[in-house]
Amino acid sequence: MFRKTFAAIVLTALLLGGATAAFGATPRSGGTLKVAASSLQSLQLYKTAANDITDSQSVIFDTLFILSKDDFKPIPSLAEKWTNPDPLTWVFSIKKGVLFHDDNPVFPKGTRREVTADDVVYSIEFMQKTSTAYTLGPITGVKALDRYTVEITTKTPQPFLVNDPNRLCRMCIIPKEAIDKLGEDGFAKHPIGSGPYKFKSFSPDSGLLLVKNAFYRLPVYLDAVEFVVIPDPLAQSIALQSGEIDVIKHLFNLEMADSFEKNAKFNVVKSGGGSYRGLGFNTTVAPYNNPAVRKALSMLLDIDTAYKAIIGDHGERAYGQVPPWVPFGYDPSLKDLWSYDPAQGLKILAANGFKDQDGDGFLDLNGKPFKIEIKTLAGSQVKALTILATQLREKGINASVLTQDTAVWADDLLKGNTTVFFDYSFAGTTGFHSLFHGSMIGAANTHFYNNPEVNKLLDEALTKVKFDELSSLWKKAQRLVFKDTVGIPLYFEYSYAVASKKVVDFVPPWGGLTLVSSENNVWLNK
Amino acid sequence: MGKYLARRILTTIPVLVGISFIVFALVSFAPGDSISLMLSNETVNVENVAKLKAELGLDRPWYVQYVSYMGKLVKGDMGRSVQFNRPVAEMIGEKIGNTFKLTIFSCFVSLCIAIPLGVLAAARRRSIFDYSATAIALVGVSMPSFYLGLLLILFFGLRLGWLPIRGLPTYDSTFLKQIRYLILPSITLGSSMAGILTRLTRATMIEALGQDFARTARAKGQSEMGVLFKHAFPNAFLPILTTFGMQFGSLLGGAVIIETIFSLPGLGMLAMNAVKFRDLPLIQGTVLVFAVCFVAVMLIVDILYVFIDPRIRYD
Amino acid sequence: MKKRNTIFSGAPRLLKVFARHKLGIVGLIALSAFIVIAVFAPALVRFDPYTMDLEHAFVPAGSGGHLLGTDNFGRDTFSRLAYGARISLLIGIVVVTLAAVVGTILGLLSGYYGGWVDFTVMRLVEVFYSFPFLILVIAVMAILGPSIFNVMWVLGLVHWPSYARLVRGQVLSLRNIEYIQAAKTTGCGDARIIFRHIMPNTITPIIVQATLGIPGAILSSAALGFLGFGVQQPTPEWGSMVNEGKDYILLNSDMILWPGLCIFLVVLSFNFIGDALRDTLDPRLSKQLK
Repeated sequence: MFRKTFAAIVLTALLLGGATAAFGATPRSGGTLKVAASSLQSLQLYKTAANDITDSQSVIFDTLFILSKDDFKPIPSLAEKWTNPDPLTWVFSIKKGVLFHDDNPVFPKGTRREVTADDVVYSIEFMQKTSTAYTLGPITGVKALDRYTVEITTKTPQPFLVNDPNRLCRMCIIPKEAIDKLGEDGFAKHPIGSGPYKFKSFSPDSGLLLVKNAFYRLPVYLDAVEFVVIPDPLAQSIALQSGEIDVIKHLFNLEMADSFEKNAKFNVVKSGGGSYRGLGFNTTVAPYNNPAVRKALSMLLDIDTAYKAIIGDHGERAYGQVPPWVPFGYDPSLKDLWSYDPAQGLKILAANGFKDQDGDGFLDLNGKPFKIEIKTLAGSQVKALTILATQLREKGINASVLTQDTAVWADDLLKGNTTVFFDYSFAGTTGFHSLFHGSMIGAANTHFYNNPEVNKLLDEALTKVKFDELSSLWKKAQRLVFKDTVGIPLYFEYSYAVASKKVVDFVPPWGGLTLVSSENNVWLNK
Repeated sequence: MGKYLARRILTTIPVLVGISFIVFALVSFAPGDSISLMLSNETVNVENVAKLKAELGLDRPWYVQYVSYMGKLVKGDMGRSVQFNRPVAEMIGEKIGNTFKLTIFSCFVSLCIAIPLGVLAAARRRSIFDYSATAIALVGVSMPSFYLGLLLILFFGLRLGWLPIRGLPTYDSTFLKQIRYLILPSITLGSSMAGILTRLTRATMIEALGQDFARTARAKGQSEMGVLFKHAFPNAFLPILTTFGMQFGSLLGGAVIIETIFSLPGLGMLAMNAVKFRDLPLIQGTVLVFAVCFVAVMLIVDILYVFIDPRIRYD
Repeated sequence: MKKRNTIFSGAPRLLKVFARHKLGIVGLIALSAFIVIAVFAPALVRFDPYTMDLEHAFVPAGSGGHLLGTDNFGRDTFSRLAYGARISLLIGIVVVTLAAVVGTILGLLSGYYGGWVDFTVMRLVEVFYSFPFLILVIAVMAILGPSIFNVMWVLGLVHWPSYARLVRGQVLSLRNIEYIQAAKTTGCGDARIIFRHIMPNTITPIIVQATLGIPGAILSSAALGFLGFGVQQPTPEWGSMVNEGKDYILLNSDMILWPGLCIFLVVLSFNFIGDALRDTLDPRLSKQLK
C-alpha cells in the first residue's frame, strides 16, 4: 500500500516536472539582454524615424497602446480601453497606479509619481509641437476629462490614429517636470518615462544601458537591456555568433537569415510586417504620361523570376501596394491586372512610336534613342532592379539602374527629376494614401499622380472607421491606381530578427520594440 | 621665433576660411539637402519641418547663411546638427577622442615597426633584415587599407578568434581592454605609414652612416651602436619627422575607412554620415576640426625643427 | 648653348642601370601582364562580366569553365577582374596625367613669377593639402554623383598640389642659373624660357612622381569604390567588388580575396617600377622628393 502511494507520488512528480519542462519552464529573472543597434546618436524624441532610436524609446516609455504581434491590431498598454462616442472623438481610459521612473535627476529615489490624464495631454501636445518625423494627423483638441480619462477630438474621422504604427502608437508618455527641469536637450540626455526599463547611461553611438524598473505594472525579468551600437551589418552577425550580443532586431542581409536558420544556437523570428518595394513612374514626363506605355513596360517584366532569385522565401509577390498584414485593403485579386506578356507589350510599344531605327538592338522613341534609368537607393532592391533592367535589355529596351546617394535620390524624387524610380513604402496603413493621393504631390506622392476619382475614394476612406468599409474603398482605389499602372508593385519584403536560443519570447519590433507586454515578456534562459 | 610662430598661425586663417567656403559652396549647390531628405520620409510632419527650416534660416540665400555661420563660428558656436538637433561641438567632442585614440595608437604602432626595422636594415645592409624590411615596407604601402582590414578580420577575428573585430569596447572599459580592441584597426591604418617610414628611415640612415662624421666617429673608436644612435640617427631624424607630420594628416583622413570596417564611432564616420544627410553644420564642423588638427601638427613639426636643428633660422 | 639634361639623352645607359634592379623588372613584367589582360579583355574572357547566372552562384574556381569561380550573381570572376583592370589602370593614368598637367603649369607659373601668383598658388596648395582628402572626395562624389568621369577629375584635383610643389621647387632652383639669365638678357620671352629651358629639366622628377602617383590614384579610386562612391555596380571596379563581397564574407571569402589581391599586385608593381626608376634616373633625386 505504502509502495503504491510512494510510486504514485514519484510518478506525479515526474509528470509535473516533465510537463513543466515541456512547457518551457517558468521565466527566470536576471541577465542583461544585449541588442544590436546600427546607430544611436541622440535620444531626442520624434526627430528621426530611425528604428534604433524609436525602438529604445518604446522600452523606456509607455505608450497608450501597442500593436499586437499576431495581427497588428492595437491592444491596451497604458490605456485600458478606448471608445469612439462619435467618429471625431476618442476617449482613452488609462490604468491606475502607473508610476514614472524614480532615482533620477527629476524624481529622487522613492518618489511615487503617478501617471495621470494630464501627463497624457501634455505628452500629446509635446509631440504635436516638437515632432518632425511623425505626425498625429489633424487633432483639434486634447483634454483630460478626469484623473484617468483623456479625450482627443479630430477634425475629420481618423481611422489611422490607432491602427497605424506611426501615429498615436509612437506617442511616448513623458512627465512635464522633466522637460521643465532639464529642457529638451537635457531630457534627451536622461530620458524619464514609465516603461519597463529605466535609463541608466548613454554613450552616443556606442551604447545605451537601461536597467529594470522594479515598479512596472507587469513583472520585469531582465536586470538590464543594453543597446550595443554596431553600424556594420556584417559585424552585427559576427558579434551575434560570438555571443557579444544576443539579438539582432532587424536583419539587413537576407542571406544571413538562411545561414542563421541552419544554426541550432539561434532562432530566426519572422516579423509580421515588412516593407513594400516597387517601381514608380513619374506620370508627368513623356512617354510615361501615356498609360499604355506604362502598361506595356510592365508586361515586359518577369517579376516572379526577378524577386524570387533575390528574396526567395523572404518575401512575397506584391500585386498592389497594400500588404497582407494591414488590417484593411489587401487585395490579392489585383493579380489579374498583371501579366508577363512580352509579345503583347512590344506590340503596344510599337503602336506608340517605339521602333529600333538605328539598328543598335534597342528601341528608339520617335527616332531618338530611348533610355530608361531606374533611380534607386542602395539596398537589397538594387539586385532585383538590376535583374529587371537586364530583362528589359534582353527585350530591346536600353535600361540601367542608377544607385543614388540618399539625399540626391530624395531630392530628385521631390523635384520630379525622375522617370522610373524605386518606389518604397514601409507598408504601414498610411502608405497607400501618401503615395497616390493628389494632395501628397510635393511630399510622398512622387508619381505626381492626381486622379480625382482616386482622391475621392481615399478622402471618403478617411471618414470611415470600420475596417470593412475602409477595405472596400481602398480596394476600389487600388484597382484604379494600378489599372493606370502608376507604379508596378514588385514584392513585399519580410522583416527578420535573429536571437540566440537563450532569449525567450522575443518579438520583432513593429511600431516599437515590445519587451514587456500582456502578450510577451522577454527573459533569458541561461 | 615668436614672430615666426605668429606669422605661421596667421597664414593658416585664410586657409581655414578657404576650406570652410569650399565646403559651404559644395553642399549648398549640391542636389539634395537635409530638408528634402526629411520630407522623403512618408510619416513626416510637414508643418513642423517647415517650421524647422525657418528656424534654422535655411530659406535664406546661401551667402547670407555663410556669413551668419562664420559670425557664429568666430564666437565659438559651431551650430546645431540638423539631423540630430544637437550642438555640433558636443557631437564632435564625443567622437574626437576615439579618432585620436585610433590615430595615435596607429602612429605608435607604425613607429614601433618602422624605426627599428629601418635602422636595422641600414645597419645590416643586404642582410635578411634589409630585404625583409624593404619587402614589408612595400607591402605596407601597396596594400589597400580596406583589404588589409578585411583580411585581418577574417583571419584574426573569425578564424582564430583571438582579437575583437570592433573598434572599441562599449564602455567602462579599462585601458588594456581598449588597446586590445584597437590592435587590428591600428595595424590596418598604420600599415601604409609604417611602409613609408621604414623606407625613409632606412634611406636616411644609410646616407647618414656614409657621411664624414660617421666615419670620423668610427675612426675614433666609437662602437657601431654608438655611431648608429649618437650620430646617424639624430641626423636622420629630421626628414623622418617631416614625413611623419605629413602622413599624420592622411591618417586622419584615412580613418574613415577603418572606422567603417571596424565599427569605430569616430570623427570620420560622423563626417561621412553628415555628408550623406547633407547636414551642413556637422559637415563644416568635422572638416574644420580635421583641417585644424592637420595644420596644428604641421606647426608642431615646424617648431620641433627649430629646437632640434639650431642651424635653421627663421627671420 | 642648350644643355638638356633629360632622360632622353643617355637612354641606353639608363636602361642598363634599370635592368640591374631585379624588383623593377619583376614589377614591369607583372604590370605588363595586367596591361595586356586589360587591353585585350574582350578577347581573353569567356564570359560577359555583366551576365548573371543565378543558378551558378558561388561556383568554386575551375569548375564550369570559370577560371576563378563566380560571384553572388553567378557572374564570372575572372571576366570581372579583367574588365576591372581596364577601369583601374585607366583611372590611374588619367588622374595622374591630369594632376601632373595642372600641377606643372601652376608650379611653373608660381615658381617663375613669384609674388602674388606664388602666394595664391601656395595657399591653394595648402588648402587642398589640409583638406581631409577622403572627406573632400566623398563630399564631391556624394554631391556630383558617382561616375568614372567624376572620380577621375576629383582625384586629379586632390593630387595636383604635390606636382605643383615639386615643379615650383625645381623652378626656384633653376631660375637663377646662368643660362637662364643669359636667355633673359637676350630678350627671350617668358613663355619661351619656361617651356624650352626650365620645363625640360623638371620632366624627370615629374615622371618619377607620376609613376609613384599612379598607385596612389588606383588605391584612392578603389577606396571610393569600397565605400560605395566612385564607379558603381554593375560596372566591375575592383574596390566596389570588395565592397559587394564583404556582405558575403561569412559564406564565401573568395569574393573579396581576388579583387583585393589584384589591387595589391598592380600597386606593388608600380611601386617596384617607381623605385627602380627613381634610383636609375638620379640617386640624388630621392632626397628632393621627400
